[in-house]
Amino acid sequence: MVANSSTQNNRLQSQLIGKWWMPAIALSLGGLYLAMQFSATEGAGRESFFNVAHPWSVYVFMSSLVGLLVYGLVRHATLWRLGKDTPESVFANLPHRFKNVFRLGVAQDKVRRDRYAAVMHWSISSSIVVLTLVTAQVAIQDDTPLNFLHGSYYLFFSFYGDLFGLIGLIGVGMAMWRRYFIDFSRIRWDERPEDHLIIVGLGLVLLSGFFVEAFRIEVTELTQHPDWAKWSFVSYVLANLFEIFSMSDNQILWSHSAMWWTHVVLAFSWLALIVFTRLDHLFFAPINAFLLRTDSPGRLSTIPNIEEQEIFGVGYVQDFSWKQLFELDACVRCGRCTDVCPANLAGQPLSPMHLIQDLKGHLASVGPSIQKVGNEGGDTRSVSPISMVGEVIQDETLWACRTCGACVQECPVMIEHVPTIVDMRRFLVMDEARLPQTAQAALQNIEMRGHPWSGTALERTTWMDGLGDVPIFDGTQDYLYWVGCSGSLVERNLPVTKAVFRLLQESGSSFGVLGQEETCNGDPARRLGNEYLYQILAEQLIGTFKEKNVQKVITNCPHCFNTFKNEYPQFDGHFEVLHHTEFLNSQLQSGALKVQHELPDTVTYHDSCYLGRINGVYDAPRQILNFIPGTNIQEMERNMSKGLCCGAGGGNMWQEEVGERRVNHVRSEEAIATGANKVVSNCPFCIQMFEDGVPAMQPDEVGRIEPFDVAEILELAVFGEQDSSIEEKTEI
Amino acid sequence: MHFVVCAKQIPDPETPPSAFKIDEATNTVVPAQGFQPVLSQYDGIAAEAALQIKEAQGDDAKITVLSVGAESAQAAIKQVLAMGADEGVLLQDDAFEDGDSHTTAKVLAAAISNLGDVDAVFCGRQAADWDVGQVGLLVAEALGWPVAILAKDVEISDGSMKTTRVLADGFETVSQGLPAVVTVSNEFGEPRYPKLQQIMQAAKKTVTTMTHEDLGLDPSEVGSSGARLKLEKLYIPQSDSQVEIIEGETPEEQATNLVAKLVADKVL
Amino acid sequence: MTKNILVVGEHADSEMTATTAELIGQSTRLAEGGAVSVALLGCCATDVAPQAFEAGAGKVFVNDDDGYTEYNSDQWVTAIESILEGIDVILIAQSTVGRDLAPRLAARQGTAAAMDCVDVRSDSGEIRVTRPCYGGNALADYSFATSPVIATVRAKAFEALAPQSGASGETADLPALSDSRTTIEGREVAEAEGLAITDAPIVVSGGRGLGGPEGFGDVENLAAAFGSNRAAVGASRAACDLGWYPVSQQVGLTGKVVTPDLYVAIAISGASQHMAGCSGSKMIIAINRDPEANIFQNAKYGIVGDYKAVLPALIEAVKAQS
Repeated sequence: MVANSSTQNNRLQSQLIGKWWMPAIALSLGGLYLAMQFSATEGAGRESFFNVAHPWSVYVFMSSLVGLLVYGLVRHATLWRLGKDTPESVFANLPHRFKNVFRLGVAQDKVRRDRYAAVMHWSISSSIVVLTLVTAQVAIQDDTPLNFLHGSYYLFFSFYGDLFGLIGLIGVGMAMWRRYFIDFSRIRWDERPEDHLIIVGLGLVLLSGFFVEAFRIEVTELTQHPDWAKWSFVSYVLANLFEIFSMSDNQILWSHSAMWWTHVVLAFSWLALIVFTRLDHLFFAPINAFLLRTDSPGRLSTIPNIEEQEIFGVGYVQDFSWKQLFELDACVRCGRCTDVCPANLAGQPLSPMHLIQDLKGHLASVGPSIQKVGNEGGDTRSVSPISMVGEVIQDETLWACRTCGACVQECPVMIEHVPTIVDMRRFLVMDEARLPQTAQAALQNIEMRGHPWSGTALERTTWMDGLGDVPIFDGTQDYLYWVGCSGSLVERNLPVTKAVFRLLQESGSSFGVLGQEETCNGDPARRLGNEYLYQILAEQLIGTFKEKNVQKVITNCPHCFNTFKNEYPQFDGHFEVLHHTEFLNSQLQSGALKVQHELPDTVTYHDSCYLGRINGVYDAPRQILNFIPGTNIQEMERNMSKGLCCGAGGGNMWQEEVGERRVNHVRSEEAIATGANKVVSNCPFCIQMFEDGVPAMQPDEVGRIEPFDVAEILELAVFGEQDSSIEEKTEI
Repeated sequence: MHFVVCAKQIPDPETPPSAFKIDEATNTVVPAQGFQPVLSQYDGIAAEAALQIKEAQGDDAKITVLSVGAESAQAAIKQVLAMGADEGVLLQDDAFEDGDSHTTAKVLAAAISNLGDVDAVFCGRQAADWDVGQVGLLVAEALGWPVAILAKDVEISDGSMKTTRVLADGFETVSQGLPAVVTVSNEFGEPRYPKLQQIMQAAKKTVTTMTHEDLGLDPSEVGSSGARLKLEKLYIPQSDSQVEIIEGETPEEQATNLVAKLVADKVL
Repeated sequence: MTKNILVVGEHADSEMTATTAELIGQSTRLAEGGAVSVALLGCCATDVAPQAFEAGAGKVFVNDDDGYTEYNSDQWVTAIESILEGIDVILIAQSTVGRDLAPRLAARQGTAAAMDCVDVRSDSGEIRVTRPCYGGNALADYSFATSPVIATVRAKAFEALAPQSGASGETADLPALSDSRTTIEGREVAEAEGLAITDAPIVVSGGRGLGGPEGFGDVENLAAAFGSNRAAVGASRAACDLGWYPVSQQVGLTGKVVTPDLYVAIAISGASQHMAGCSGSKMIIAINRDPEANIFQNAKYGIVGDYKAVLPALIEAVKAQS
């Protein structure tokens, strides 16, 4: 059995859900219990609009708000409707989608990835929800035959109304602290006046609410039923404070009335911001959680019947799917995506947040004309005076993307940046044939030679030298060991391939390799935007696999792993796919592989994006390292789902980086900072990037951290230092 | 205007040395397993030069791709068609086989005469297999046209061709009257990446095939019978160099040891 | 079997090129009693003629017309064609001149030219040539079915004769300048600092493994340590393609072919296309992090290590030596 590496992550997440919701529920239940105990309050209650003239005007406000919301929705929807159908139906897999709405929309799982924001945002959002319900109950009590707002429930109602008012104010305070008092950059990358309006406005709404209540209590309950008044604990304190002004009853009544109107106007105005500002995420975030893909984030969409398309990829805003357009409106400019983007961290020209905002701006500016021209049957592609790909979004921005998925992982409103970026790359490559020279060389090499490693002096079988008989897969073995282009054609990765081979052999597993018959599975082509080339390669290789009766595949490389596992099913290629770390871990667990040697090392483990974040395999490689006596893991600050890309993803292995720094230098620094003597990964690209980045960041060879693959370390632990492929690195 | 691009399909020059094998009996390169023949990269650059001029001239220019080779050379022609060339002609005949630069040029020149209205011929600076670099010159001689070799820039206007040629120590700009031949050097820049739409269109195009009869050539003057250079032996040079790795605990020690060796060898 | 051999000579600034002397030297060995003549065109050819005699030529054809100074294909072809009577072998350097002139002469003479030869020898009286092909992966030996034999030859393929000072011989005129279909509109000498890479006795080259253009700083420093009058800096195609170093300094199949006494390859993997440009070096030293790099197959000495650590040490050691 192979350990399920994603369980730990799920566990962590469910703990988090408990953490934040339990205190609120416990507090409320506690209050309810106390209110029930307070039996002498049978008569507790109040006249809802006791001091307000024309309270019916609230309904005017409310209808206006509903009207505005409908207007806003229609306005947005006309723009979304410019988009095409989504690749998968948004009504497929409904249980999963509703789970997402609860988990990501209501429980705000993603928001909680930043602890401060988690408390702040939950405080604000729960307070808005509860206080809306409080207000609604007053309306129901007052304007329907239902009569429930009295007695114990009234006291409880008073209590939680104040409680969530206070919670809301705490949230607003936290938001203001972060926005006005500390240096917190990501929320200022694209700060707009509305941001102040929202936060200050909400503070005023909540405060005015307390004031209204305090004035009411001062003239009513404070003297008549002080024991009731205490349940509205915030207003009670406030009302007592007002006593020092010794206002007359009339003055208080006048103040109450004025404050009531202020509160109502402020509250409805604030709610109206939903239509005009990013507050719309109140609705869009849960809806986007519903729309979120239910398949793997490692899967890019196919272009069906690619040979019959007139345009390839997305070059015009109307070529996006309506869901991609919808997402643009969901963005709240929180900056989390950009904050974790490896390109941005290295000062390279990509900020996922700005990309989404730029597209949103473009849609708003050209969308209405496109719609008009479309209705008239004109050419919608000639509407925009500037080109979306090239001018609104610059080429180098698209090429800087590592497809590492960090932005997608962090986005609290579930925007999927990566497919959007790749869609535009597809346009650049297939429609415009406009791509960096180095990327072009890699793609052409794949076309001509079936691998991206232009200029390699190695053959697909070079790694087999000195390994004796290497079994060729013939359909009788259990597993196909897929070496991959990097594993066979890049010098540095050969020891890894040898190590995996020897460990597979040692474990007694039944496996074979394809040798000369291996060819690129298409992953780099797909990520670089050449979907056509990808489809040709994928279809060929699936044919080969089927012909050879391949059922189970063990891959060297997490990119091959992802493509076989998540993308080949799109072309009817269904195989059981394991990364070597998963398989080797299972062999250790079962005892088929035995660690014989101690390795006194402190290592840091680097999660490759495509094994870790995108496929959730965090545990298996760590478990292998934990099996080795003497080896300690010292985690980097960014690890697991927050791990930072090595810089090579998304075809950037074959591109020259543009920007202030190189991503691999940034990540190498983080590895060096752990003080470990080895940085261990699971991906041929990551290892190459560390081999390049570490010497640049640590010029002194003495004490330099050394990059290895998990398999190389395990080989040392199983066979000993004298007898490992790793030695070839230092000898000639 | 009508331009011709000469394209050759060659064994993949990126075949790793370990997979590069020669059949000494036939003096030919054994196709390496897993390596498909490719378009000689310099011919791709020549095609790029022709395409840029065609684009500068607007729609009334036409590009025909010519290749002397086997059936498989269709792929090389299609590749240039995908870049944007208009027509392809494969000059395929058993009689053309095992020729030299002279016979290849003869066949190409006959085909160019056959096309009739050609204004300029674009060749790569050399074929990336034999690395000779004569065919463009010999085509020009056969046609009686002027030729400029190793161009890094080409312009065609008002009936003349202006080229900037790469010299050993710089560049020279020359102009010649049309029709003319130019061989394009790698300094020109990389060939374009074909648009998918064009790849699809190229796939649908038919490549005309012509034989010695179509071109009015006598079999005795082409191929091995017409060749003036005789390949006696093709072989892989034996590397007699046994590298001596300079050891040392530190870079400083390695450096000192190396310099000592250089002094001993009287290089320094 | 005696052969009359014509060397198409080249000269600049009143100095005959070293390669011309080498070709004359080999011609005297091949002629087996035949005549070795040299053609010299352009300014001051007459002044250069004695150098040709000293190098072993028996007869020198000259025309001092300045119109010949810069190579113009049609004019040179016409001039050389006029003196081919009785010539069996024509040798030309694999240069800007040879690349153009040799094939055109061959076409006009109904014969063939062998380009970029590293050897021209007489095999039982018959001329055989050897030339590299397949990006330096193979060598090919050729014989000629037609006459005269025309070959262009790489620099340093042959030894020149020891100069016979005071030697002299017959001088004859080459015809006057003819018309050309080619108008030369201008020439531009590429900015090359210091020694030309093709002339330098020491070439220090950097490749893609330097990791960036800044790596060439160390490479230049090493060249400076060897002495700016002796060493020049080269680069691999990969490095030039990435824009790290000027294309004028590119060593390789499509760049310059260099044949220095010492070639230092730093962070260059040693693809055959690169080796095609430097394999004629007397000694190659490789510095590379990857012990398996192909460059070590071709090197005499190697240091396995990171250039960032090795070069500063090597610069110091070289400075200490000189």
